[in-house]
Parts: sequence; structure tokens; C-alpha cells
Amino acid sequence: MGIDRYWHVIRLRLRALFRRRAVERDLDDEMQYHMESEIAFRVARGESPDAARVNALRDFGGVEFHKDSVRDVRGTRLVDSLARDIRFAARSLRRAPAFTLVVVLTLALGIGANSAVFSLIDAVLLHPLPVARPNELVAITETITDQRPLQPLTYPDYRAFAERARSFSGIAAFTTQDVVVATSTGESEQMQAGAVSGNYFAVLGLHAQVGRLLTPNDDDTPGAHPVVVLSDAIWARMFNRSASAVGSTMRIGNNPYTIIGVAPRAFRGTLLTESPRLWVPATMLADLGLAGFLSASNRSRLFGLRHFHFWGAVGRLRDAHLPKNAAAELNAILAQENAKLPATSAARMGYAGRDVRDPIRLMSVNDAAASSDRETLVRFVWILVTVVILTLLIACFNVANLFLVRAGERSLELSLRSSLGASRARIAQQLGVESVLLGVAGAIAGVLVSRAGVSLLASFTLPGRIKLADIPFDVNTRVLAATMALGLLTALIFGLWPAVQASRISLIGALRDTQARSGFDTRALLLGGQVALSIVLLVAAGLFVRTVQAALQADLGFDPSPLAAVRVNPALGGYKGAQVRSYYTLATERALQIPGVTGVALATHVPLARVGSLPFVAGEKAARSDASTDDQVTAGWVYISPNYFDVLHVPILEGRSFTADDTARALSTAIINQAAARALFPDGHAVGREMVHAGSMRFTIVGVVRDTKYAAVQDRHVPMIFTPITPDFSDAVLFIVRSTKPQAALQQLRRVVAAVSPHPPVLEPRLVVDQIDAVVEPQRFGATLVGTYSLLALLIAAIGIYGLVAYVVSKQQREIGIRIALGARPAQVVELVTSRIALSVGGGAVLGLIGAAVASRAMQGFLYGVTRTDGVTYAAAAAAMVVAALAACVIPARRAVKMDPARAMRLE
Amino acid sequence: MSKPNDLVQGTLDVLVLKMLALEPMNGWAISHRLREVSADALQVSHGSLYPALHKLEHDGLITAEWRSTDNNRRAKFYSLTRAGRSHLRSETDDWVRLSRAITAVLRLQEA
Repeated sequence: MGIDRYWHVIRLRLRALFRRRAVERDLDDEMQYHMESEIAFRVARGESPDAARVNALRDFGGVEFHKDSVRDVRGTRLVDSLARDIRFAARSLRRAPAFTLVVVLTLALGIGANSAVFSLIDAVLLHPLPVARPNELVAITETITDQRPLQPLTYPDYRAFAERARSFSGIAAFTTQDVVVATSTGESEQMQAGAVSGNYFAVLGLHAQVGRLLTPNDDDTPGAHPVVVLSDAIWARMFNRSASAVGSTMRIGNNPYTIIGVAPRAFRGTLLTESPRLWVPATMLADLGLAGFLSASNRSRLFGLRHFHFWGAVGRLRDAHLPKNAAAELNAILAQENAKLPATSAARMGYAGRDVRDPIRLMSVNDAAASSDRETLVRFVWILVTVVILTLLIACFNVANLFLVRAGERSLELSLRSSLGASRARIAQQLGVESVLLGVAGAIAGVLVSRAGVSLLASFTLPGRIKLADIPFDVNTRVLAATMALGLLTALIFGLWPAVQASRISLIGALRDTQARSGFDTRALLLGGQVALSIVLLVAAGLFVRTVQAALQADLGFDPSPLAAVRVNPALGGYKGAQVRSYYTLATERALQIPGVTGVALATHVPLARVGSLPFVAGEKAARSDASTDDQVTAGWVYISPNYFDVLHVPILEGRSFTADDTARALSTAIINQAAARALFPDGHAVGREMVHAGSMRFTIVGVVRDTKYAAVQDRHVPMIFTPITPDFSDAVLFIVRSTKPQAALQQLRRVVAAVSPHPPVLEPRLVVDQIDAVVEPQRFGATLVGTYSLLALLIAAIGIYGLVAYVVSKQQREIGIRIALGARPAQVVELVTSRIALSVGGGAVLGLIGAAVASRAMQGFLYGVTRTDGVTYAAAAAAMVVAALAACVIPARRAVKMDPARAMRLE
Repeated sequence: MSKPNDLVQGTLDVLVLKMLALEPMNGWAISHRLREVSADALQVSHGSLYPALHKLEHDGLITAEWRSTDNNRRAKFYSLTRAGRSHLRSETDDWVRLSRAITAVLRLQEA
């Protein structure tokens, strides 16, 4: 059969389907022509016109009969009846607007919420990096000690691996550094820069959009190649995607860099927690304005030092199936490197914990991308997944229940139609069409909800400080299709159920109205399930809310509310020595003149900020020959100006504050907090004693200060060590002001500090109190998301209860009427119509509370200031359910009580 | 309403295809021609020709187009497609084989 034949046939069918009128007219014309020709022929043969007409009609046979046979040939019958069903379904749904609206909304929320959250998960956890053959790529990490697992590499070790490892076709190194870039408008902007080995882009298998990417030649000599590759984001924002950007220069820090090309559009580095906006050769790292804690001599030896673990490494395996061999090879190379150096234990290098065997570990580059603390992230995401799946289940239960209630209301109509001759298949088709119509409407609304959901999610932060705003993700079409299919399926299954039931209900039974109980048990079960799941969600939301509350009310050891801070980094502005000193002095003076400001202090961190921690040992223990890692105390290390504790109003409990003398002698004296004093000197006398860091750095303790919360509100007080900021300290530092009007002071602080000099830029202005919010951000996210969903679930359950009670009332009108006529009191009537529902709500609630007690185990690590079996939360969840249930019963129960018995009994 | 007998029902398609193999024709002309050549032996109600024509058209064996007739009237003219032509050939062969076999059987001399 030729293709043209099919084409011909398809065209005919389509015409029959879509140009029905024209096709019918053609048929009329054709038959009309036949008649006229036949009559003319007969007249020509000598018949009278009248006889000719009669004979022609007789010979033709029934015109309509033949027309109908022709229509059968066209094969559009099914479509025709479908079109009629769609019109009928649309009409009947319009007549039940409340039902339609609730079903569509429920489906939309279930579908939309799910696809939004699953799209997020897909983007964060599952989405492969936009690099060539990601399955061959592994992240190379070094476990420095058992307390410092999966850390970056040192530069010399990286070089040794890159040059000697045979298992890899290439190994690239990368690190990130905040830099200040001069924009075209003359302002400075802070952004993250990647310092990457010359083979970085080649190992990842990336190609430039414009110009070229870095090559090993760009990375051969420290400081020699000031070239930069732009990210797509920066290219678009600063250069409007103009190809002429390539070849022009850009100021990074204080140095001009030549733009050599633009990275691929989708590429944003290999870690989700980092978002470099531009890339320079690794050997340019020192010139970017590197962290000031490196002394001048260290800085020059930066690439030779074997204890700065800041190089992330990613390698491309020659054989993706043999990562074990590759890891073994790297461990062997590391052992050779260690053998070349005099024995250096991790503790000597300043790291807490014990050495481990085979410190080099490989992990899939996609796993490494998500987070350094992937486990926490995965656990948190699982909570989200559970929540949205529960919500979808609740939505499905509710849709099922609504369909069943509606079926109950229509049982008379359905059995009438079936007794009038409609086949079961015909009724099923019509109900099916109705369900699909609802399902499609729900799915379309679901797309809108998921779009809104995705933009809402973007304002949240996941554990591991993954800001969702930094991760470009959109509604995932596969996910959307899957949830839509599920929604449609639910609608179809529970929409068709009534057809199955209708076929069993006899007309007489339906007319006699004795079927009140049919299908009730299913409904009660669905309702109970819905209530149980809603309670689980309510409890989860409650626990998150209580955690956020507890965090906000936690005793921090100081009052953050009058404090505001901005960050500056003189090194980024290219300042050195005396310049730094006069900058600090001038800025401090100006800040003190701001109205309402009572104090200005400098520090590298404020309480509640994340502080890197290092090991310290009490001086007398360090002197002992049998000193072990068990004697180490891991403490956060903060540099402060002498008046820091005055400004924060944190009392010094023992000893004294820093003096100008301490400041001048830099690293020789320290103040420690109570937690550190307890840990280092259990016998209780800290002041005047010594502690040691990294074997050789000795500090005399001059004071003990009250504990304040660092790192995270939910942590216990951690040991903290404070040392003085030197006058020419040139690393990131905070100006902290205490003011009666902190918000106004913050605005002025930005201005006066910036007025001292345009370089360095004034960054991250914030109220210290806002940092509390930042550390409980994931919990806040959880509280918002789960809270919203649980309220939705509650609302949906209430609607379900309302529907069920209303159904019972309408089905038992006669019985209610009789009882009222016989003198039943209102309370008895209410009991009659709600007792069974109360049972399923109560049962569901009990099940839900038990389920929540079990499920809350997963939330353990994310709770603070509240136990997972917190009685208040559980009671509140149950109470919310009961109140919602009661509210849902009020209207139908009132109708039952107010029923006119005479009318009710006449209904038959 | 005269129904075509079973034989005709089964072979009406072939007869129509044969008519159209001679030249493109409109519906009335086909029915007229059929009556002429079969000398009214085939009792077909004229109307039942149309479902047959539309069926053949939907099967892609014939194709139709609106054309003017000799007396300047618009009529729907059917003509054979390539598929229709080969269908007719194989149907004709089948028919000839079958009728030969039946004729041979019917001519058997009774003992």
C-alpha cells in the first residue's frame, strides 16, 4: 500500500471529523443530484413528472437510512458521542460548582506542590553537572584526621597527583576566593572567583562560548598570567553578551586582568555551595588579595606549603569502573610524599583528631557537588519528600472522598439512566469523561501552582548553606508529567468507582433510598486516613515552628538587638601596613559620631557566625611527653579589638580585658570563654596559665569571658578563644556598632565607612539579630513549607468531613424527621448524624499521633529546644484537627436539627 | 425498501470498481450503468450504492472530486486509485476462479 493512499484516507477522516457540516452538505448534494438525474431520465423515457418522482424515490430506498449508513462508514461515531459526553459533563460540573472547585483545587495543590519540591530535589541532588561524561569524574578528598574528614588537598600533593597518577587522564584543582571587581559604572562589587588549575576546563570537557578557556600555559608561573574567564552571568550582566568583551581588561582587586573568554552558559562550578562568577589561573591566587592570615613569607611559599588544605580536586578516571584502584594509587603517592618530609602528625600541623589510614577518598563528582555535609542535606530533603508525598496522598484521598459523596448524591440519577437502557459501559464512559475533565483542569491549575511554588522555594536555604536562589532550577517537566498522571489516575479511578457501584444498585433500592450506608465505610476509611496524615503533617510543622521559636528565644549569652555590623577587607582594597592602620582609626572615629552609637568594636566574627575551629592543648599537658590527641580541645578562634566585650556587653568573669600592650604583641595572650576554660583547665583556674596551638604557638590566658553562642543557636556553648586584632590586621574584619537605633545606625555605618575610602568596599551590612534567623533558616524553611501543607491538609480534611456529614444528613432525612417528630432532642439528632464520623476522625487522630511519634524520628537532628515527642505540639495538632472537624460539622448538623419533620417525611 | 440479495451485497464493491475502471463516473451514472449492463438482473436499491461508494473512498480504493456534468450541474465523480485498480484485479481473478469452479461442479452430469 502506498503512502499516498494512507494520506488520502487520513485526509478524509480528518475532514469527516472537523468539517462535519461541509461533509454532510456534500452528501445531501450528491443524493440530490442522483434524484434529479433519475427523475430527468424517467421523464425523458416518457413517465409523467409526478410518477417519475415517486418511482425514483421508491428505487432509491429510505434516504435517511442510506445517509446513516454512509455516516457509519466515516467512523466518527465514538468521537461524536464523546463530544456529547464532554458537553454533558461540563454542564453537570457547572451545576456543582463547589464540588468542581474543591476537586480541581485539591488536585492542583497536590500536583503543584509535589512537582515544585521534586524539581528542587532533582536540581540539588540528582541533576548531573553540565560537564562532559560526568560519570568518569570523581572528587578527590583527603581525610586529614578522623575529625576532619573529606577535606580539600594541599597544592604540593595536588601537583604530585596530577603529575604521577596513571589512573586519571587528568586531575584539576580549584578553590574559591572572594574578590572585588570594578564595574563599568566605577563601583566595586564583591563576587566569588575560582582559582583553577590550567587544565580545569579541559578535564571537565568544557568549551568556551566566546574566546578561549584557561590552558596549562596560563598557569605555569605564579603571578605571571593575569587572565580571566567570565561566567555567563557576568558576561551577560556586565558586557551584555558582547563578543568584544574578550580582549578587554577588568580590575580584580587592585590588578588589571585580560578577559580571554566566556565559560559555557550552564556551568557554575562543580560545587552547589559555591558559585564562582569568574575564573583565574590557580597561580594567580596570591594576587587576588588572599586571606591575610598568611604571613608575607608564607604567601610567597603558598604553592609549596603542605598544610594549607584548600584545593578541591576533580579527576577524570581513565576507567570509570575502577575508582578503587585510582584511590589506592593516590594513597600510595601521598605516602611517598609524606616519606620525603620529616614525620608530621596531623596534630602538629594544627588539626584536631587522629591520623587515618588511606586518607585519600574518591566520590562521585555529583555527590560531592551537593554539599560537604551531604548526609544532613539528604536527611532534610527526605523530610520534604515525605511531606509532599503525604500531601499528595491526602489530596488523592480527598478527591476520592468527594467523588464518592457525589456518587451517593447521583445514585438515583445513575440507576434511572441504567434502567432506561444506558449500558454500563455508556455510564462509565460518561463518568470517565467527567473525571478526566476534572483531572485535566486540576493538572493545568497544578502547573500554575508548581510555577508559583518554585519561585517561593527560591527564597529558602537548605542545610549546608545551600541558598536555593543561587541554584537555577525550574519546574521539571518529567516530574510534572508524573504528578499530573497520578492526579489524572486518581480522578479516573475514583470517578469510575460510582459506575461500578451504580451497576450494582437496583433502581428500586435507589428510589426507596435504602442505600444510605452503601459506600459509607469506604468513605469513613478514607476520611480516617486523611485525618491521620494531616495530624502527622501538623505535628511536623509544629515541631519546626517550636524549634524556630526556641531559637529566637534562646539565651545567647548576650543581647544581639542593639548591634549592627558591616564587613570590610582592607586586603581586597590593596591596603598594607600603615594604610590599614589609619583606615581602621578613621573609620572607627567616624562611626562613633553616628547619633545613638555608644561603641564601635572590630572582630573577625560576631557571635552566631560560623567560626572555623582549631585544636588547643593546656600548656602543662603539651609539655608532657605522653601528650595525646585526647588532650586537645577544639575551639573557635576569633580576633577582636580590646573593647569587643564592652561593646557586646559580655562580662569578663575572671582576669582582664586586652590592653594596647596585648595588641602590639599579637599572638601571645588570649581570652577564653567558660566552655574553653572548663575543657582546658578542669581544675578551674585558667587565668595566668598557658595553652598551646599546633605544638609551638603559646598563649597566656589573661581573662575568662562569659559563654555566648557561636556557630549555631542550637549548639551547646562551644569553647572559644579570643586573641587581639593587630593594628595592621588585613583580612576580612567586621565593624560592630552598638546603638539605640541599630537599623538607622546600620545605614549610616555603611555610608561613613565607605566615605573613608571607596576601597575596600563595605560588604554584608546586617543586624546581628538577623543572624539568628540565618542559622535556623532550614528549620524556618521546614516550618513554612510543612506548616503551609499541614494547614492545607487540615482545610481539605475539614471539607471532607463537611461533605460526609452533609451526605449522611441528606440520606437520613426521613429517619431524622421521624425522630424529631417523636421528640428527639437536638443533641440526639446531632449525635445521630455525626457519631460514625466522629469515630473515624477520632480513630484517624489517634493513628496520626502514633504515626507522628514514629515519623518525627527523622526530624531529630533538626530540632532544637523541643523534643520530638513534645506534648504541647501533639496536643495542639490534635486540637486543631478537632476544631476543624467541629467547624465542618456545624452547618450540616444545624440543617439536621432544623429539619421540618413533616417535609422530611413527605419526601418519599 | 428492497434489500440487495447476499450475492450482490458481497460483489457490489467489485461491480462498482469495475464500472469505475472504465471511466470516472458519478453515483447516478454508476447505478444507471449497472442496471443497463446487468439488464436489471441485479436488484439494488439505488440508495445502497452510496454507503458502498463512501466505504470504498474511505478505504482509499477510489477517490472523488466535484466536477461539472455535460448539462452543467455539479456532481461528485469517482475514479479508481492505484490501490483500487490492483484490488479490482485480484478480486476479478478470485471471482473468475470461483465461478469456474462452481460452473464445473454444476455441469457434472447426473448419473
